[in-house]
Amino acid sequence: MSDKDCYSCEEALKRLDDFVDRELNHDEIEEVRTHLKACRGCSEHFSFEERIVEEVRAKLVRLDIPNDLRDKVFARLNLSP
Amino acid sequence: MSTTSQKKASDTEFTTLLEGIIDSAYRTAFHLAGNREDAEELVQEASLAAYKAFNRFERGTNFKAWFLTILRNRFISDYRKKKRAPAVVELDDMSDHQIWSSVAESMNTSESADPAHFIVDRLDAEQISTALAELPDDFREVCTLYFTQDLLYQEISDILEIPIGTVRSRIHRGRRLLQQRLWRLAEDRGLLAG
Repeated sequence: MSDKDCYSCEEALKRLDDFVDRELNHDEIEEVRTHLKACRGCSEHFSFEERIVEEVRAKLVRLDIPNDLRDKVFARLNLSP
Repeated sequence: MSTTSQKKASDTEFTTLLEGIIDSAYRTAFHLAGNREDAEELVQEASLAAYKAFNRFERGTNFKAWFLTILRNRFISDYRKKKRAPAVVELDDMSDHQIWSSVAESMNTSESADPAHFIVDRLDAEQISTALAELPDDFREVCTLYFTQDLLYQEISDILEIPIGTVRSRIHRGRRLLQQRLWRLAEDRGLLAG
């Protein structure tokens, strides 16, 4: 890939959300990664967006599950867990 | 195989599948319904509906996505109307770059290595749940599935029965709104400089 084919910051940032959500095709992923290797500003921004999603998910997953949830559900179904 | 044996085999299969996703389903139910009591009831009712419909579940396909579709439909029909309307939080329409620029400017050197972790780690899970609950309904449903389940856009589209383009735009916008809210909470708690 020649320099002029590499993504600009604008082109990379346009794909930020889809990159974070793994919704880009393989070629686009590689081109974004190439830009991130060369651009510290975009690299830090992309990293922040990915980390926010990871951190929020990790926090929400720590929600306590009621101890008797399974018992109640399977009793309602008249099944044994 | 006799009818009794078939039923027993089907019940065992259903039980195994449900066991594998019940915690995750509860988390989604909690963030849809907004409280533990309704979340428990919603999971129970969805489980009963799924059990009754299990003969229509296509083996080998995604049981969790199928179950979440049932759970979400139960939420819409039984709970969404009675759920109190979340406080409408007015937020400035900041672009993702504006949010990031504000974060970067406010972090000092020691904090800036992982600013996302720095902010979110210092907020309670309840504050984050509340921030999610305060999103407008359409964004909240998509973002609840997005943050509590590891689903692709297509899977969320199938569960909510909305076009994939709508899923994409609501996740992007909802994520931005959530970030703004978390950013505001961090400022209120004095976590950010200036």
